[in-house]
Amino acid sequence: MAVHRSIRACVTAAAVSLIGATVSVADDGFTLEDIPAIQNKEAIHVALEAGGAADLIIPYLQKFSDATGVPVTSESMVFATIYSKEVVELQGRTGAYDVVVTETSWTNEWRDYLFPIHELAETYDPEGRDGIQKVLDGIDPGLRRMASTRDGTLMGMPYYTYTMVSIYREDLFSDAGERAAFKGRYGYELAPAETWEQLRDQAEFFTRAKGEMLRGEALDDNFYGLSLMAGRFPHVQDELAAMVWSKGENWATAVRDGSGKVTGFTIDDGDREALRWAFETYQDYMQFAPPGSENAFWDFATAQFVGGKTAIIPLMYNGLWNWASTVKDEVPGAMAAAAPVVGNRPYTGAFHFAPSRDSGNPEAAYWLLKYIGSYATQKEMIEGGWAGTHAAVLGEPDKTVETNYSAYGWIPPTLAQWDKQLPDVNDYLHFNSSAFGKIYEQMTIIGHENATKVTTPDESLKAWEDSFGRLQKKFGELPVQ
Amino acid sequence: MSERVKTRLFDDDKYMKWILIAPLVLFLICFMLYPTLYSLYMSFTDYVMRGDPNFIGLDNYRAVLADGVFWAALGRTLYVLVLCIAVELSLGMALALVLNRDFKGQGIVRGLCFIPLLVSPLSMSLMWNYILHIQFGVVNTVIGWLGLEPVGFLSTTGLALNTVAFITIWQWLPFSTFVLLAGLKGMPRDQFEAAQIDGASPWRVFFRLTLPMLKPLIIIIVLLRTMWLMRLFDPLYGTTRGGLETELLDWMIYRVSFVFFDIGQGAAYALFALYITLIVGALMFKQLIKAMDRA
Repeated sequence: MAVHRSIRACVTAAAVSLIGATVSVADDGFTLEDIPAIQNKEAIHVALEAGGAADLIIPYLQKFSDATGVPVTSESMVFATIYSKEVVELQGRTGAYDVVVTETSWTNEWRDYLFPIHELAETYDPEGRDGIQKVLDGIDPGLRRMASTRDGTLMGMPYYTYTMVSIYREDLFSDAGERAAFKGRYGYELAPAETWEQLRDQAEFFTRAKGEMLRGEALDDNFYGLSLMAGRFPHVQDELAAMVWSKGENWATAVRDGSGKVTGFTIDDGDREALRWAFETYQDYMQFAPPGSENAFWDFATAQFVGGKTAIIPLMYNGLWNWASTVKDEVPGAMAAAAPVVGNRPYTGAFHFAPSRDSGNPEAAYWLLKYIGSYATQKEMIEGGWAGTHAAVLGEPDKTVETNYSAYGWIPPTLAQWDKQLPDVNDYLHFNSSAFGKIYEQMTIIGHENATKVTTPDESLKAWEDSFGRLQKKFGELPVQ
Repeated sequence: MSERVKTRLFDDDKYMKWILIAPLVLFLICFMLYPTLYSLYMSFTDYVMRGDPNFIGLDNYRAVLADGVFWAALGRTLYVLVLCIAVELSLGMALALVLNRDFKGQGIVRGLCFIPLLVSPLSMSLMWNYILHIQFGVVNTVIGWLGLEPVGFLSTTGLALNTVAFITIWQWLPFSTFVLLAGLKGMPRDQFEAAQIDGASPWRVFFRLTLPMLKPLIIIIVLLRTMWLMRLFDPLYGTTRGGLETELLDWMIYRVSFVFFDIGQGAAYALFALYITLIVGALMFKQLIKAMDRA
């Protein structure tokens, strides 16, 4: 085991050095004015995730177009359809999209259809690889690894992150009466949970029936401890992943050779134990979630919190903070706060813009990516409420809850978690399997059926073992050992 | 083309009928026959949208037969099919009988009854998702006013599948209603008048005259609805997405074919569904021909 750990540490160090320095640099100095005249004026078409915050990127596409003279069109798709639509276009080699929006866990699967970013830099950037590297240095290194293939080749520019944070009702946690009652019942102080057992205590403590007292007032409706996303949507998988990762285990462990190269996957005893525990714990937590959680995704879970129905969203994407924080406007006296998730290993992902190999204008695609990832653009986006990936911008001293509660509350826990999670990222199945687009869907089904008790935790584990072996064998390149 | 050939081609029914039907046949070959045969070919391969398809014989079909998820989805599909057709026919008949009577504002009522058919199926599923929502839905708000506990129409295993069936019935009930209403409007009056003179009760008239005369239309409704319900998809899209044990056959085929991109396996599932539909369709069609002959 010690040997295994030391190999893992070496590999992690190597991977991190491959994708660049971990210390974020500040301003890369790159702006629209720095883009040289683009020779190819062919329009580029960009795939986007539709909805809310994602639409914020559209004005930046327009700015790029105005500055370079290259028309940019975009197509917004709901998340549920992005994968299918882009797979058809990429594998069909239609060239329909010049830039595809890529969930980080699809990177290995799509690597044959995308241009490595540094390859484009060497072709089109007068500064070569250094030209893009100075921009990339600002992006969180963990997210860069996620946007890379398992051998460390960066395939896209991470521009939007959905790192999970824990969001809770700070007014309840700081209420003297509630604190005293909690301490009296559980024997320790009420504070953001650091263990899953503490989270259960808090969930149980805050789950109250209509008529009971909360913060000294009688409840006019049932109140619940947790907001969960147990519906058959990808999010239940993300919640389970955070639980499994928090135990230092994986859905499946990457097997490496002496040089650190991934040669296959295995579900080892540690993984099994962590998965069984996660399935059991999730089922247990469901009793503290409001009715309707069985068919819920982030929309419902956040709405429950904002509507004053729940005390804690233990695992929620940071992009939802803007909405969750509006609980102060909906519930008199309420205030939200964000903390790292239990175990500091949240589901962390990002959308990255990746240039298609079938693009008619990879030159413009490259400059668009560099512009979107640059310090100035990310700064503007983050200050406009965007869950950006630029660690240097996020780490600026003015990005605090005090300066902008609703825009920046998610930032401190996100940065703290990124640092702690970085050594583990390289080992996550999500960023090593080239079948993950399919595996992800199967995890969702298994997670949902477990949460709704269609299957027992043991059956869920068995379903995972069976389906992972089958899907990896059919769609992946590496064997399950 | 000589005048003689032209005359022979266009004047002789033997050739003319083929000339007229040729565009449709060509269309069907391109867009129906070829894709079906191509799917059949794919169902014998391991094609996953990567590399070339390899012939694997009947492996995909063996997998279908051994797949509990497939049989569960098929069972649910048949349950929804029977439930929807039974309710749509019985309720559709009742509504058709009511709408067949003359009353003030009948035009408006008929127009309103037609609206569900005009709604986009996807919008409809999203709309019902919100209407029936356990916490924010208007239905549960009303249930709350009555002092009752909220109902998880789309978040309770067991109930969710029936809710999906309800959404489908809501949309397609007007179809049965208006087809049957058209049948009622077209019925010969003399036989009903004769029955009235003979003192037949309304029930007897309905079961001995109305229903037999509507039999061809009922079979057409059953035939068409069977085909459509076997590929029911939209009500799931905006609601449960197959969760809470609501996954139907078409959703499963979509998932395997267009999320997993397991084209060979997906084709096998799809063809299996097609075979079942064809068998049911053929039986219904035979009944339809018999009923029409009798009529």
